[in-house]
Amino acid sequence: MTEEAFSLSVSKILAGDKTGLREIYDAYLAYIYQIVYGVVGRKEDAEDITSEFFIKFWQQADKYKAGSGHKGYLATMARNMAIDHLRKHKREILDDFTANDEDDVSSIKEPVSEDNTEAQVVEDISLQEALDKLKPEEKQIVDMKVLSEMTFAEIARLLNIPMGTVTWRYREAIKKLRRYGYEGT
Amino acid sequence: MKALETEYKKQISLDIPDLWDRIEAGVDEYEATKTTEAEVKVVDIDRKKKNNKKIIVMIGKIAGAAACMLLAATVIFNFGTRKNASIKADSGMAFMANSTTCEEAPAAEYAAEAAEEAYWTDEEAVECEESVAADTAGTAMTETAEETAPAMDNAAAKEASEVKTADVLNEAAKDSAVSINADTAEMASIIADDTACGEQEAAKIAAILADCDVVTITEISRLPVEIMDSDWYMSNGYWNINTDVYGVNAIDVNGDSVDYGLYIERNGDSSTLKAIGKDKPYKDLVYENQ
Repeated sequence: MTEEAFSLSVSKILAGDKTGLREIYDAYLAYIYQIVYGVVGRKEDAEDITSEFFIKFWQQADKYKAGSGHKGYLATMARNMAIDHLRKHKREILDDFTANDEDDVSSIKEPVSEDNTEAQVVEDISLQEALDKLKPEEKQIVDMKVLSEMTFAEIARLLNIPMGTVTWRYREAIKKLRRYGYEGT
Repeated sequence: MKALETEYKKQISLDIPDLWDRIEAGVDEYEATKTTEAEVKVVDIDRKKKNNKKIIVMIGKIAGAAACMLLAATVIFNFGTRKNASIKADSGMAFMANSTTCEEAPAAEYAAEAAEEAYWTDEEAVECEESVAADTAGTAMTETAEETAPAMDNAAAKEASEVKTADVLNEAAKDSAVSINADTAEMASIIADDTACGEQEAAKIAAILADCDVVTITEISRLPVEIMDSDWYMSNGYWNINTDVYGVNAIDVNGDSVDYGLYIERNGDSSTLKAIGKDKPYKDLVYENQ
């Protein structure tokens, strides 16, 4: 969506026309959802927050200033909403991560020794199956980095852990995913 | 190798459910709430306007009531003032009616007009006058009656004076010459003692009083300084620090009560004896004996 098209949609919203919101929804639903999902890591929460995002945008459309880069504006807004949600429900999410971690411990197959297969694809599996191989804290950082396009510093600040830990976990996650045929940056 | 980012986002996109219905419902709910809030605000504004209107009406009523009270107070005040003026005029009516000369006629006419507006009727005034004459005013008079008391006293005094005059005249008819001599001699003696003037001056005093047709001296007293400080005495040059003045109330040959002023002005060893009358023209009553 171009800047002009986006501004026109905003004008419709300001005029009370819901077609303007619909246009933005069709263009950026996936983008917003990915960002939110990358932060909160749970489908149900991501759906709720995404819905709230579009309702909030309808309410605060007058705050948008044309020419400031609408995609960045939307990403920042969605990320902040997701982070707020994460902070409010941090204990629940962490508990979930811990439970998943314990469940996953038994199911995770021991990775092949790095010495033998570091650069080889050991198993051709789907992305979802590959992501499931990651530890919860690793997946969380991958989601934030890949889907939400957050920097390591932002992730470290949000999770309240050292940035070195963030980068180390991300690197470990990327190594694992590479073994299953997915190349990260 | 597959690109992690591309594949991951594509997969996420496939999992996204249609959220439009939820979003639209949320927007509609927000708009409804917004409308309700706006209506509430309008209602609040209307309520405030109504309250303001009530306040304005109340202020108007209070202002009206205050204006009425002020008007009433003004009317009562003026009414009371007029009443007092009427009472004063009424109280002076009897005296003025008795002692008015032609020159004082306008004042008497005013007093009569004021009396018509007074609360007191003539009968009540007469009753009051009689009660004062009977010396009962001090105990039975109202405030209004007290204001009329001086005038009543004058009338009563005059009445008493007339009675006394008749007695004096009867006595004077019997032995007028002796009476004159005795009174003038008495007065001359009093003044002579008080002023240390000589027998010659005492004789002059007696001559003056005889010339004034004095039959009986009813009272003789040294006038207080504040009376002599009055404009009349000062303007006519009858008073200075070297002057002693005596007031003489006497009955003349016609039976009239007359007031005389005798004063002795000293200048070193010499003195000037003069007599003036209050109620008669100056030129007719001044006697100089130097």
